[in-house]
Amino acid sequence: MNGFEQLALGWQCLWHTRREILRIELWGPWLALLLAQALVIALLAFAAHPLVSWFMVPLLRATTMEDIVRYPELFRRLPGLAAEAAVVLGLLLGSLTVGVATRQFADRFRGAPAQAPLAWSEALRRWPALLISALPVALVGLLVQRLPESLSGVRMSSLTRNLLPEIFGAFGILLTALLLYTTALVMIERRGVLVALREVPTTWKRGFLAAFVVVVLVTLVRLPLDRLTLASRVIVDRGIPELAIALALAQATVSAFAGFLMTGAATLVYLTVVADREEDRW
Amino acid sequence: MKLRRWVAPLLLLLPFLAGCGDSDLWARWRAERALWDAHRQADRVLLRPDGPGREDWALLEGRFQAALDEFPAKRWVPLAGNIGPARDVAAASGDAALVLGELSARQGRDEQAVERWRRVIQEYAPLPEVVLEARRAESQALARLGRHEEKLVVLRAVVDSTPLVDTRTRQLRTLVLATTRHLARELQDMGRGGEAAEVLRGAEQRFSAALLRPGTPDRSSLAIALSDVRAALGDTPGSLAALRDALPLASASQKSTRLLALAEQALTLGAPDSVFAYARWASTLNGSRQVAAPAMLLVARAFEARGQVDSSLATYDAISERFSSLGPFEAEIRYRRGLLLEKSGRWELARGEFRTLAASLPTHPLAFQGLRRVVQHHLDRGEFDLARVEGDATLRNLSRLLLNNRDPLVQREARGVSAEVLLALGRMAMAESSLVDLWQRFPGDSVTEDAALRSARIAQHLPGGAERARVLFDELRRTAGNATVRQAADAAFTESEAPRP
Repeated sequence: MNGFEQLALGWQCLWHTRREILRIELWGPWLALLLAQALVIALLAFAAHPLVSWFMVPLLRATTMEDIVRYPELFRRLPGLAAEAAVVLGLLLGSLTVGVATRQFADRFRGAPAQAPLAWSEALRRWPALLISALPVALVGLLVQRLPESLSGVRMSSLTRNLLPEIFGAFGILLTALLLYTTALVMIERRGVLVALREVPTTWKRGFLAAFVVVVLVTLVRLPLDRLTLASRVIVDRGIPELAIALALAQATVSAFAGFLMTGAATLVYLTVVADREEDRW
Repeated sequence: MKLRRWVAPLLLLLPFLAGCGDSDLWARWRAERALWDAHRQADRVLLRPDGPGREDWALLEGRFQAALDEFPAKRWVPLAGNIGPARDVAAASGDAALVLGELSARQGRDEQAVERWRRVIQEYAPLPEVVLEARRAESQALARLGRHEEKLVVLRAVVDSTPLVDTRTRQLRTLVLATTRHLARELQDMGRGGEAAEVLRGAEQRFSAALLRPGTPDRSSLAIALSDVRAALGDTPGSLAALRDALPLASASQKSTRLLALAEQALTLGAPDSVFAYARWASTLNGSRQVAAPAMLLVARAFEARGQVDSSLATYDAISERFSSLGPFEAEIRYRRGLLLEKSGRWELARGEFRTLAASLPTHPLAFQGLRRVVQHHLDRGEFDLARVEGDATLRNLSRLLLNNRDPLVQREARGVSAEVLLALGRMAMAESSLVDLWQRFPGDSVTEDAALRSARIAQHLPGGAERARVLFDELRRTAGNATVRQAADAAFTESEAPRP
């Protein structure tokens, strides 16, 4: 398959996954992830309440090294904190979610009924492998989140300072595209984590460009809200600080939606071009 | 069954865990939220183009009073001893109480505002930042009410009893430093030099002690304040010594700025040789326009102070040659060059500098001074016809500027210079009305208060102007913030009231 065919396939698979959006049974794992994210956002937003402050305040102080449980400072920082928590949650719970969803999408695209209990039990069995395969992307995500703060004391031109997070963001997109089929190798081909990571480069020739298109298009879906989050300080200072909660929840919802699309499209590309060749080889 | 065995203890544990949280922390959160909401409401109401109505004021008072009632001083101030959430609640409560005073003042009820702030000072005594803010606001309200002696007592309390360092934020309270200078100047203007010196000596002791105390933050600013205090006491070597002592405290990036401050102070204290040394040192450390240009300017002024006019002019030329764009220094260079050229008898060149300045930077305060200087030069030489021609041209230019530029600062400067030119040309009736108009447009400003005083003095000698003058003197003696103006107006009013022989 040449490059242009791969580009077209990436788009087609994403378009095809769009049609699955209304199937409630495929949303199970994503709703679980969204619920967990909403819980974390609620814990952050009400960190000062005596019911949770006994563990949230020391946790936030250890994370940010300052007393941020002040009104409205906490809301200025809320979308950033929620995004950082989402990266950690994405690693711990998101890897499991993607595993379950990959199994369900594979069943669905093969014409078999999507059996949620089976998918969950298999993903739980392979959780450590899923977690390790999600680690590189999560680390880059965390780095992008922390970069502006870590660089605040470093002397550099304003151009470099503004461009560096964008460069790391682009690197994150590239890394996600490179490792996109790892979950499929673990969940569909039932490979161990080391074997899956070793086999990933063999998928690039047949599916990298398609993966790249999928990742870029899904990132574009998330982009407007991500950009809006950068202006959270202005939103808090000029509007109602509690809007930051809505912003963080909206970001989590869009992320779940983007995850749904990306996992579905990646599974479909894998089944269409990558897995076929695997079968041919056998 | 297994699950049930776990659920019951967990449910029992929940209230215990809920009690583990810090209730003061939650109170701080609620206090800060109540205050934030009230401030947002105040911003919305106060920024309305038609201004707030009676209901709006009542609504705002209600919001801040509700915050104060929920977090009263009686409950939270006794807990404010240590740094922690309870202290922050007390500070938020104090903020609400301060704003209630501010709302009274904004409605023109200064008496009520003063009462409210005095209550704040009493109730929030353990919180110096709240007390300081209350005293600052109270002193301004007392000045508006014409209760100047009480204002001095309040300023004295700020200077004597406010800790120099905010232990909470670990920052120097610059307002205390500024109030010290302000109080000493005010007392000096009122002819109470002894009290002014006493204030300055007290400040010198406190500042010196704070500088010696380990852990004092921003020692560099404190050393500059000490230098100012010593300069005001007439202790020139002590003033320079304080600045020199501040040099090692400055960071590498601050050092060149500190050296410029040293050079400036040396110039003020009449030590031009020190100016050369400090300015050269600053330029060596930092050759950028931001440092080298003002350093060269100081050198030029030091030459001028030594009477070396040509050296000074040559230095100004050197600045223009070295920097293609002079930026914020252009106006000062042109104005000072104009003055030097006039002094050395090269009037045509001097007038060229003043005119170029007015054409290139028409709204700069020195451009207005340059225009004024052109008229005054002819008057000083007795060339009345030339003065009238130049004066009329200046008045035309200024009225055009007043029509085209609505910036309050430009309006103030242009109207001030117009009045000065009218006065210089001997058009007394117009000058009188211009000066009083300036004060009415920009009240509460010591320069415009002085203009009003001059207007009243002119009116005294104009036909039918005695009553106008008497009313103006009366108002100035009661309300002027400038102590010198107040005293002069009082003396003139008393004289105007005295029965004529």
